[in-house]
Amino acid sequence: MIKALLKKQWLEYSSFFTQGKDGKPRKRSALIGFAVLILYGLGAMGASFYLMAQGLCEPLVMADMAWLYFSLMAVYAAAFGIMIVAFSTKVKLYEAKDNDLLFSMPIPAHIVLFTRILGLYLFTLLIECMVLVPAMVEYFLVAGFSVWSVIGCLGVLAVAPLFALGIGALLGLGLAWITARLPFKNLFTLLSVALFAVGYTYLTTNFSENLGTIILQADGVGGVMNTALYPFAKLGYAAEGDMLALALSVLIFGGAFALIYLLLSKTYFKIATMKRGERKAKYKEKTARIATPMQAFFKKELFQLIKNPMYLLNASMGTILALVGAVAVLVTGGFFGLDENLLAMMPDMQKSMGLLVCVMVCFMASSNTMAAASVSLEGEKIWIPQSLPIGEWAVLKAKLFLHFIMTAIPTLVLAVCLGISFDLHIAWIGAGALTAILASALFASMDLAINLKFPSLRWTNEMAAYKQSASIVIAMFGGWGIALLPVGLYFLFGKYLPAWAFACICLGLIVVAVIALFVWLKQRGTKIFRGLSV
Amino acid sequence: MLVIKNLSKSYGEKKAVDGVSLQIKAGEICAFIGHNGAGKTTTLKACCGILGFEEGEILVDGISVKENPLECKKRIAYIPDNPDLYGFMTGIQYLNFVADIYEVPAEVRASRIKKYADALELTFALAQNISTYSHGMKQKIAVISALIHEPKLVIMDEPFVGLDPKAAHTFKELMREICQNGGAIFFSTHVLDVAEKLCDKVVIIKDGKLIKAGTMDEVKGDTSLEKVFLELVD
Repeated sequence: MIKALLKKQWLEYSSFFTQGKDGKPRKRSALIGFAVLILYGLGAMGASFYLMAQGLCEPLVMADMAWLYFSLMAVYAAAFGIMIVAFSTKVKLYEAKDNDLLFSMPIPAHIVLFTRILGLYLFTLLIECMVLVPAMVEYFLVAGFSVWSVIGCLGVLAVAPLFALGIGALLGLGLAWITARLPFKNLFTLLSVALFAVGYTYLTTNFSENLGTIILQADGVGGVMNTALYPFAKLGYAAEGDMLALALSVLIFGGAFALIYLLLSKTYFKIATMKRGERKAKYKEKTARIATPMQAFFKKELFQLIKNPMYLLNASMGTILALVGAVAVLVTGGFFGLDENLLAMMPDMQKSMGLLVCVMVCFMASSNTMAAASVSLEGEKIWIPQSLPIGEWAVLKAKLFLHFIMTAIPTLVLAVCLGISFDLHIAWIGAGALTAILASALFASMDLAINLKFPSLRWTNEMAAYKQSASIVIAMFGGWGIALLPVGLYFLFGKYLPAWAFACICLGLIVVAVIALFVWLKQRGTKIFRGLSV
Repeated sequence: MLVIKNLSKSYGEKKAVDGVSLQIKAGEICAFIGHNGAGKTTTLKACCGILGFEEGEILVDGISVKENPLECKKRIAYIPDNPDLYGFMTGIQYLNFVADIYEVPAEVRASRIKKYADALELTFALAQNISTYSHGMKQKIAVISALIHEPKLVIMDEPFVGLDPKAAHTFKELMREICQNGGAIFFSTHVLDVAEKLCDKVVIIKDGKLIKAGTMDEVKGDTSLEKVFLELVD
């Protein structure tokens, strides 16, 4: 029974890699391309964690406090893991579409839970590996190898995810229990996810910004770690090669997780089958506001975004960060440390803070992905726009417009706030504002084009369309790559050109790209949309 | 109202519809019957302009679906076999969305929504999210949205699945009303009793080919439609 369920789980996960948009197996070349893309994404994330690890590793190893280095990285990995796993846990454990089917079969609920938890453990392991593996690589480069430290590190990799998974599962349980009773569950989910996002951003920003302080006050931080965060201190010692600490870590993390698993197991069936509380609104007749067909589709896209908190938060991260950042930049004068990181990567940019503002605005614009999911989200409802008397271009324009509006307004605000905070010349503030508008148009059209090329209409959970599809991966990492491309170009050609000329060339290239993408969408994209079927 | 001339559609090597020709006049209800995978849904989707086709021609009210799909869609209403609707909208939001696309004036849409929602007993649920609807309620909202612009041609794939007996009865009356007002209906069904009692015409398809078409009396003669169908497809 367990074998059959694990096989089903494996097929579900592996189909993400092996099946194309039409449900047929991907061609070998497509499979290789997709694998390269995933590796690029994981590599890009890993590289950013590696840079952070680099700042901590050597000073702490030199101070004979390598354990503290590993402990801090494990805490960071746990925070990163919890942030990602908590809401996935709620969806994958309690809202899985095949729960009813599996519960109707003679399978004990705890077996269903076990196979789902195992899948989530592997997911958490992957997430934490993105933080811990680069940290371990840096340690081996600085301190060298030993058999015990390699065994210790492997042990830590296996044990550490249990913490994030345990806490994530508890939060998922709490969220599922509360949302099953609440009439406004969307609002509650939205608020809790936003609270998480803000908490995580605060933690990571403080962590990155205070690396220097941590190193200077290593003894004090170590003391706190050894008392308040004792289990993580043991993980640190274990990674150094202390086998007793590893055994203790297995006991602490394994034992705590076993207790949580017991609680989940006792409540799983009841909560997974609990009828969700929905407010039964009463219908009152009133005159409808008339909208044009294009406005009607725009409203539909907007409803779809704002009525799904998970979609809103996943696809509008750029909007949220730009608005929060705009306030933060006016209050603190910095932008989540991104300005400092970019300056560290490219010190020459100090000469032109205006250019730096343009890059940051472009980066924020690239973080929104609603257009990259908008076609996939049609799913089995694709018959609706296809059967209604509205042209494909109007449907695509509605998707483009939503992405554009949701991106251009907050990034415009951010550009102005950054300009004021950095005391830029009015011309550079204007360039920042223009970048916000052009970059929003670029990423809206690029993301939509990507989704038309890689649509995923056969999903069982909407999350697959806005979080786990190929088009999201390509749009997100491709977008970040394009947004940061000017940094590289400035490194190569910055000496030969004044900053204003460089900015003009970049903006000109964006205009050309936007026009080319619009032409492609209107001519080829509409044909692709017309031909889509489930 | 609907003319299909020599329609052919392939999926790769497999010919799903092979040289189908038929005609439905204003005021007629035509049943489209055949076994699973016979090519019914493919034909219906091609008529709505959802699915392209390699050969043949489809005319709706004299307009080519291939050359002017938008004009055809303005005259058509389509209900698929399992209507997946926008779950994030309430029933009334969805109906207004469809009415906006067809540019139905505010007063007209309000009276039509009231008429059809009352008739199908769905008014009480119009303010609720479609995601909370049962299968039958979704089918009802799909029916109301299809009728909101008073289409000249209604194309439906298994429209009675999920409807409760009373709603099915009301819906049949609405279908007759559409035809009395000069509209036409073309729908697929596996419920041969309903087809026999309700339809003026019947078309039987097997392996993508039309094997029998005509008025109900011509096709079934003195026997039952079920008997004729089983003899033809076996």
